Amino acid sequence: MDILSCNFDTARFLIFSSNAEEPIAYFAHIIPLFLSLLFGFFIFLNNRRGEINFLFLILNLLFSVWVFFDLILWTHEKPEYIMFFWASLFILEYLFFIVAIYLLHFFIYKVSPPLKLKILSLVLFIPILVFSYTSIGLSHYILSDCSRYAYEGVIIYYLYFLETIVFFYMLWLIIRGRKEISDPAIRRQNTLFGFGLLSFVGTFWIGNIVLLFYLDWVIEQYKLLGMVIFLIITVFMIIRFHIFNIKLIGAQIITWIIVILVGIQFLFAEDYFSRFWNIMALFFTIGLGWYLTSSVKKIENQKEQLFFANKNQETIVHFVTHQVKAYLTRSRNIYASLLEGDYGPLSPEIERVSRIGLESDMKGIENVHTILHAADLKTGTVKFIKAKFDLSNLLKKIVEQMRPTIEYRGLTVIQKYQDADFIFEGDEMRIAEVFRNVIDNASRYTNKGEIKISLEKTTKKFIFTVRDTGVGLSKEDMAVLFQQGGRGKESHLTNIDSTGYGLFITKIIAEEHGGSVRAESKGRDQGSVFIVELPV
Amino acid sequence: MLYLNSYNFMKKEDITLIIIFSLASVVTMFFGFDKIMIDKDFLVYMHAPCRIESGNSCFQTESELYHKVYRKAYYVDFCHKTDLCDVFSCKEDEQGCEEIFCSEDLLEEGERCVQI
Repeated sequence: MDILSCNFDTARFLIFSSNAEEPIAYFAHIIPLFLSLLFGFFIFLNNRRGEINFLFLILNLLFSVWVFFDLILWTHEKPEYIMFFWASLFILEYLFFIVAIYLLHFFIYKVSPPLKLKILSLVLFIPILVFSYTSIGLSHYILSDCSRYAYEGVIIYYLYFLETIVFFYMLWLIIRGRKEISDPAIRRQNTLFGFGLLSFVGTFWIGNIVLLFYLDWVIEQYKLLGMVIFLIITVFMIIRFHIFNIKLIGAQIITWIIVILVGIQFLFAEDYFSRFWNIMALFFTIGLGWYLTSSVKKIENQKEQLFFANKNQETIVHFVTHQVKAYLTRSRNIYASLLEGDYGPLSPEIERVSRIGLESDMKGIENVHTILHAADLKTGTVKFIKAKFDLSNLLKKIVEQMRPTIEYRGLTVIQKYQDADFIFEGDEMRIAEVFRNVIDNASRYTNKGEIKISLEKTTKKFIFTVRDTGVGLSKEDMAVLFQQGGRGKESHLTNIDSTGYGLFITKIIAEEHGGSVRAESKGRDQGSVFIVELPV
Repeated sequence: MLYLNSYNFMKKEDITLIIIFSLASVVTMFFGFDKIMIDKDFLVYMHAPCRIESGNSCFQTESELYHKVYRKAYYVDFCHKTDLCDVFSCKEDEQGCEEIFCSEDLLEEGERCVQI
């Protein structure tokens, strides 16, 4: 047989032709293609500021392009099209495997993967980039029969080897995450999401290995359905755990879209095998849709009740904290009067106890004040009065005010200011609070060593950095650090007075000024770096 | 432009890496497109009908008698559904073209050598 006798159909819009003889080819491609595109954009558009949402979009986009290119191989008749799109699959496949690692890492640990891993992923990518479009990628196109088939070069072994490593690395990340994260709810979420992602990567990887040994292109198509499993698990997690910050009604709409898409595919199923899979998928998605609909109603009711309960709780908390503050103030005044000699001379023992009482009341008042202040910032009742001022002058003043306390703790203060213009428009009093909170936080969690404070300017931002040699931060600490009442797991060992509101306040103030705050640490006892960035 | 959200865990190096990966992929695909689609710089493999005058051994299977030809796609005229063009033989000075006749060490499953 030679090419002259092959009656190929001419592909329209790259993918529409009768060349794909097995209906499973369209079934296996169209559903994952639409679903992943729909999901990727839906989740990203619901929260454009979410890194996980962004990575989810990238993963789905890469996968969709892969699926589209793969469908071209099934439908197109021209050798150059088949060779180009086939070779491009190697690049896309490697990319979405790497993005899957990134996504899992971010989801479980809430931090970026280690730098070594990033560099390694880039280095391992080089052979794929260099050889994909050479005979090492695809050796030759076969014209001797009508298979429209190309013979893959050795790069395929390299790629599948890397995919094997990625699969087991992801498995290891999930297992390690289960050991390291103590919160059972978060652990459950991580495991479920990890399982979803692993089923996507794993199905794909197993599909490739099967193809390598059996050369069965029909069975190979089922590897794409791993993405559908992953998306179904994602929908379940959106409903159950509210991941990606997506509103329930949105998740409800998207689930019914899946049901419709799967239902439509039934019309195109031509053989019993396809119909069987279609019916299974349809039943599964209908079940999921029903579960979601009933959940939405229940959760909406709960939300309403929770709203009123929260309102009441806020009023009670405000009332109680104000009352506590009043009692503490009264008690502080009594101790102060005693110590000032208003009631005559005190015995050394009573004077000692009174001083302890006064100090304790002062701390109590300060803590209540911090909590009330955080609540006011959160509800937006605090007004920011913005004016131009010099950040470096303000920082120098704050450091000089705090220096005695820091040095009293046995720490050295080192300051570094870039020679630049630090005029900033903002609320000077609130920015002073930011500086004070970050420096105070560093000094409280550093038992010995130094606190390095620096102020720099780039073309777009002012960068205020505080680097300490203190107790450092674990990955779990970092996840809660800037949250309301968020404290490190072992913070009470170093700072018993911690309220967990200082950095929360810092974050709100920085964000109100269009800036951000973040922390970095190599881990426990490795020190920390707090970075506040404000726009120029 | 990437945004930082409440997690604040995406670093500058992540953004740099995303840019490097994207650029490297796009540039490679661009060159790949040029090489494969425009220049048609890849090999095609064909079973050429066994030529009687060649005097060489040909491969034989149950349904075919042939010798093997590798040619650069650039030189191959993909003349579907016509029999007016000869895609099976190397032109004079054609680069990368190779005609393989049968020998015992080249036999694959289902093939045998026949002398014409």
